[in-house]
Amino acid sequence: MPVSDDAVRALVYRSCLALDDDDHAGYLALCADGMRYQITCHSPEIGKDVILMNHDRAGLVALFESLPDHIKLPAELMRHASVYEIMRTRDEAVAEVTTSLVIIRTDPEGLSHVFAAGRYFDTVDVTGSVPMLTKRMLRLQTRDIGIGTEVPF
Amino acid sequence: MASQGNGGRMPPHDLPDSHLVGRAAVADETVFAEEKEKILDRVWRLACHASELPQKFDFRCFDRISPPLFMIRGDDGKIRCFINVCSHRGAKLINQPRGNAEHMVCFFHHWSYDSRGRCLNIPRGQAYEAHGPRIADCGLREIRCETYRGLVFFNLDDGAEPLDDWLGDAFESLDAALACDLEVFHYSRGVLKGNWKDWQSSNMDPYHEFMHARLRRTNVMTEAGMAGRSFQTYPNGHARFGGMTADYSKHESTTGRETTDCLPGVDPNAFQSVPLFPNGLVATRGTVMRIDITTPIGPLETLVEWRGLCVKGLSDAQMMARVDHHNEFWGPYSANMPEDAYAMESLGSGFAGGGARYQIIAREEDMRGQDEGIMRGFYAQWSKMMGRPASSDAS
Repeated sequence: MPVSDDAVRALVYRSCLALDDDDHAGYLALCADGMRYQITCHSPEIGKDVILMNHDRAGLVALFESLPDHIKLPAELMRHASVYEIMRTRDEAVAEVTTSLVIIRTDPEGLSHVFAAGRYFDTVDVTGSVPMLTKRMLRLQTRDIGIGTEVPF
Repeated sequence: MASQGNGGRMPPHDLPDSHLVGRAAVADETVFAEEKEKILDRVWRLACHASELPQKFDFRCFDRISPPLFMIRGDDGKIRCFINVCSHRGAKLINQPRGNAEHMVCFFHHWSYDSRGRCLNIPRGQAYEAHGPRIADCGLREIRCETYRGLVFFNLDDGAEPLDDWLGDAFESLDAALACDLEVFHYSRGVLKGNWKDWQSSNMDPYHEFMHARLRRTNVMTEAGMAGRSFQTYPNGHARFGGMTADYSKHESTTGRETTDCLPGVDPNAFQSVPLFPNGLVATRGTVMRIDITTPIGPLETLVEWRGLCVKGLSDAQMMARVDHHNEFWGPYSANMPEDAYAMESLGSGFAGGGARYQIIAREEDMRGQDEGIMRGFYAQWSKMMGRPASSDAS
C-alpha cells in the first residue's frame, strides 16, 4: 500500500518537532542513508544563489555531535510548517513536497519574533512502509539572521 | 581608583594607555559622531570586489553607508562612485542593491544621468532658464573611488592620499591570491548589536580561539605552533595576522582541503588575514578567501557583510568543495562565525548598560602566539586620528 499524503505530511511535521526539541537522533531517524540537506538563499547583492549549509547524512551526524561543544546561542527556536503541495512521480516512488516554514525565535526574556522564513523543498522516498527524507533544500527568504546559528532549520 | 571587594581595581592599574580601550571608544554616541567626522569620512574604506561589477553599466548600491552611495562601471570600464541621490530634490536615485543601467532615471521627475554621473536630461528644462540651474551643473556628486587588485575602495575626502599610499605594503602576504581572477560566491550580512570596532577586533584577536570548538581541535596551539605565528602592524593601522596553522585531520568534517588546489601563494593548512583600518578584512584559508566589511550604523549597531571568494571558472564539483570549505568556518551557519557574532553582541551588552568600562588589550608575546599587538596598532591609528587615546575614559 503506498505511503499516504498524511504520512508524508507527518514526516515533515515530525522533522520540525524533532529539531525544536533538539532530538537529533529522532531527526536522523527520518532521513534516508543518502540524505542531502542544504540551506540556500538568493543574494540580490551578487545576483547569485548562495549555499549556506550543505551536508550529507554523515555531515549531519557530525554536525549534531559537535553542537554540544559550541556556545549555545541564547534563544529557543520553534518551527512552524505548513505543507502546501505533495507531488508524486509517475512511478510513485518519490514525493516532492513543498512546505512553508516560519521560524520563531524566543529570547531569554520571553520576547518572540520571526527569525527566518522560507520553504522546504523535500524529496521523500515513499517506496517503503514509512516515508523517508532523501533530500531537503531549505530556500530562505530571510537573509539577515543576526548572529547566525550552527543549528539546521 | 576604586578597588573592588575581590581585590581588583577598575581599571587594572599600571597598564599603559596603549593597552586599554575605554568605554567611550566603543559605546558613546558623541564619540561615534566624532569617529564619522575624523576617521570614516577621511579614509579609504573597502566597499566591494570588482568582480561584482563585471560588465559596463553594472552598479552596486551601499545603502547603510552615510551618505548612501552607489558604484557603477562606466562606458570606459572604470568603476566610479557617486552619492546615491538625485541632484534635483535629493530623492534616492537607485533603489535596488545591484543591476545594470546605461542611464539612471530618477523615478520622481525623470531627471536622468549617465554612468559618469553627468546629467543627461531634465524634462521641460526651459523652465529653469530664468535662474538656472544649468544641466551641466546638475551631475551627481562623485566620490573618490580606486581599486587595488580587485578590492574596490571609496573615500569621502577629496584631498586624501592615493589608495596605494594608504595601503602601503599591507597586502604583501596576499598579493598573489588577490591578483588572480576571483569571483564572489558567498554573500551574507547581518546587523549586529555591537560596536563596529569590536567586529574588527575579533579579527585581530588570536586569544579568543579558545572560544571556538572547531579551532580548539584544528588550530595548532602547541608551543611550536604558537611560535610559528607572526603578526605585523603596518602604517595607517593595517596589520597582518599570519602563520596560523590548522591540522584539519583533527576534525572529521574537514575533508579534502589537502587535495584541493589552494589560492595562489596560500598554504593549504594556513589561515592568514589582513585586517584593514578602519573597516575591512581580507583572509584566506587554503582554497577560499573571505572579505569582511563593517559599516557603522550606531555606537552599538553595525552592519557586517561577509563575502566568500574563489578562483573563477571552476567546475561544479570544485565549486562545491570551496562552498563547503568556506561554510565550515565562515558564514552565518558555520562553526565559528555565530560564536564570533555572539561575542561581539556580548561586548555590546556589557558596555550598553554601563557595566563594562574598559577592555584590556595587553597581551605581549613578541608578536607571536596570542599577542594583541595588532589590536594595539589599530587603536593607535584610531587614537591618532581622533586626537585622544582610546583609553581616555577607562575608569
